Amino acid sequence: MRKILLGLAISVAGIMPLTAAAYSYPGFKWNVGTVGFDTAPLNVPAWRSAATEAMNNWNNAGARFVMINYAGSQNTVSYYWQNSDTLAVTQRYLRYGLWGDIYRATIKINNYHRFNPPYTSGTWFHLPTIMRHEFGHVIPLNHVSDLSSVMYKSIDPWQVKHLRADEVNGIRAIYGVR
Amino acid sequence: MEFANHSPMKRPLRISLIVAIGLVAAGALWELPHTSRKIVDSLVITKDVPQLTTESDVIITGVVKKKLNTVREPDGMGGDMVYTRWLISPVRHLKGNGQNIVVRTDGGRYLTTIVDVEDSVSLSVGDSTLLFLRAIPGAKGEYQIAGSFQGAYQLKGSEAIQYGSNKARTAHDLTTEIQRSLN
Repeated sequence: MRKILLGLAISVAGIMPLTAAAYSYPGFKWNVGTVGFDTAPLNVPAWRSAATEAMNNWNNAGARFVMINYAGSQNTVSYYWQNSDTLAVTQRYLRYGLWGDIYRATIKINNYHRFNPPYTSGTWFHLPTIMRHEFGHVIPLNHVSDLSSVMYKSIDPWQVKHLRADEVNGIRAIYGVR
Repeated sequence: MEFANHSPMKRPLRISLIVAIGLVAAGALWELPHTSRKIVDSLVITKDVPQLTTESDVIITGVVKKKLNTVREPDGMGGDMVYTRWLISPVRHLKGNGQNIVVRTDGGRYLTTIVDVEDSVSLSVGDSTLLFLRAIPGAKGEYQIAGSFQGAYQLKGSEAIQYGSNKARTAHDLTTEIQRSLN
């Protein structure tokens, strides 16, 4: 009887979305361990480097989920131009149906704003930090209420953020440890 | 031949059926490129009340009267975006003017396009709100919320609670800061 109850508890815990103060996971994910991104549409080499750096930051978390550069992938990192407060947008496409796995993701950087690189003077936003945030959504992690987290929902100019134990725990909890 | 035996009375029915099937098929073909289910996450610039006040065309307190409909428009990034339109009845104008204001919030469902937007302002009919609004170019009398979730508060008693973040402060403090920013 005790074993049945324990098994039931483990099953329920396994299907529930993971939510904690430190990270937030919406309950769906990729059903593959490696996802390729085409960063060529970014055009600016320094921007492509920022995207690669962000993917590597997440890859170094040691989870069984890896993001790589892959030319021609339907998952793209690109830019757009819009007069708005939005710095970047991540779109995660889900399959219709019960399970709703992610099958595609796109990241778009709003070129209306000034980013470092290349800008180092005036008002700029740190692109590697923004890329880390957006690839965090790809995983997919949601926004959190902790201002100092890379997954916080808004950002100030010149602000630089890195992955911390909370985000590493998040990706490891979703995909397991390598 | 079976068709040759049909009476002339049935021919209009058959033609109507073929036309109806053709219309449905054409509609499905038209809709197919828009069929998607996606979740959108935006990273926005942090804005304080003075900045939101400066950048807003209209600032109101009001009541959400009605959910009007959803609209689907190009998102400017090569895809579709769905917006939900709400009718707001203003109680007090802190900046700008206009009666029966229509506010668009991000996300919703339009036919086979489903767009969920994290931290979208989730209004409900009957909500008492304070909204920082920007006019939508080309859509007369329609507004979007300035600063995304940062520009929308639900008023509950004496409290103003920011939609999306649940940060609370007193409504009096908030309106006082807005008025100070206007001067």
